[in-house]
Amino acid sequence: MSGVRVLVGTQKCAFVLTSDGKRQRWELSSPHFVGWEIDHLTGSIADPNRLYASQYNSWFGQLIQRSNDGGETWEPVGNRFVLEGDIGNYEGYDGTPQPWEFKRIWHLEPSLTDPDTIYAGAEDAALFRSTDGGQNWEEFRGLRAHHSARRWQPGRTAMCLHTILLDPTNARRFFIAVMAAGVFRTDDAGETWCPINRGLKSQYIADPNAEVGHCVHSIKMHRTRPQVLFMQKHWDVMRSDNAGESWQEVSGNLPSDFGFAIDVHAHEPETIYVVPIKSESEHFPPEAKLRVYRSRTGGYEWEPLTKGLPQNDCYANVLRGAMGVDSLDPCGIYFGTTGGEVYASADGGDTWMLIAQRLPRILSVEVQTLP
Amino acid sequence: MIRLILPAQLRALARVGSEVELCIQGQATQRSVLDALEAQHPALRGLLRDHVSQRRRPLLRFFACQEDLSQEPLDAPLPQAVTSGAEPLIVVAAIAGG
Repeated sequence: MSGVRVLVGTQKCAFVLTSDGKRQRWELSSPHFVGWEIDHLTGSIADPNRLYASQYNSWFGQLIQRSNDGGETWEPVGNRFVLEGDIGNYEGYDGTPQPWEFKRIWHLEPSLTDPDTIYAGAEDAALFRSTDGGQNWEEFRGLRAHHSARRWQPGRTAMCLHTILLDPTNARRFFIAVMAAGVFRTDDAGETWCPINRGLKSQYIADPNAEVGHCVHSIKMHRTRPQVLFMQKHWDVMRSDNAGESWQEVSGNLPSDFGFAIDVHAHEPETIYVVPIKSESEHFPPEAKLRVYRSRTGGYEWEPLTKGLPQNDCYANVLRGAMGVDSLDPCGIYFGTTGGEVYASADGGDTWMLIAQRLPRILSVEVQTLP
Repeated sequence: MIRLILPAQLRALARVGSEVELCIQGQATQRSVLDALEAQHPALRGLLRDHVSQRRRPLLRFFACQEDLSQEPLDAPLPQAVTSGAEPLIVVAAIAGG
């Protein structure tokens, strides 16, 4: 029988949750990397036993860990992330130029075909790649060299590259998102990049329709339709039907269109999920009710999913990397909260169960469907 | 033989006990000790000092013989008590309350 592995990165360590294909009984691993922030823990599609973790703390900096046995054992690999060439500046909080500096890795994205190839998104915003299982890393300098880069600004948290999407039908096309600059696309395997933010409107910046400056929280795609992108922006849920050339708002009847996480059903490319959050200053669900909203129409029309989720006194958030789906049928949906709870639905979101609780603040949730 | 005491998290990462013993060729300095440590335990590369600038990570400090050596030049000789192995060189991670 197939199974599911849920990879959970937290502020203090990482966990692996496992279940068989029924997804009713879950086993929680012992904590990995105790005392370290695990910004992202993810697995290779090409080899499900190959996992990677981004491990950081403010004393010792960045580590990358690799597992070849599905998370049973780990080994540190390379952590030399060096910005080469002209370092350049971005616009700091006080408006002064700030030199780019490597700080940490927010996101790891394994190649769709090669378990030894992996991409890493950094703070300050930069994109790296390793082709030897994480031992050595090389920057895509073309991104930081983009003419708009000097106008990129940090959001409240950091000026970081937090999302990487690889086009399954075109190995030369990737999408990345930078906080708070927006979305960028390459069509030449990372040599050159173009901002793809037309249609985004952000009232909190001087020019709401600017080419860059938008606080994009997450983007996702369905693997069969890589030209269709879904976005949870700071405010607004958006979609693009032309690989980011233009965007339209699909927030529809959501109780709040602020949020962080978004994901797409594994078998229904127009079924998407978000977790509305009240506002930028109140990072908890509206009315303190934890509700996942599902749209079966690619946006516009949304329905609340509440069965099994707390409907009172919930003041937790769901961060941008903390939602994932499996590819079983029916599709499983998973998310983790800043309150340390992991919820799972084995029926596309109709009902939910708590599969882990009292964990540290959850930073990322990735889901592997095992053969 | 230099005796080096590392913070617990680095000991776990390098899979070493309470002290690491390092053989240094030539003058024993902070730089040569860290060079030897990283050669012996590659998992620690980049964690005590920046890969490129070689600067000590700001939340780490180096102590020996009840002295704070953190601001000493990287190539300054370590105290004789450290080079003789009588006293350890201690790496301390900043501690905060809360």
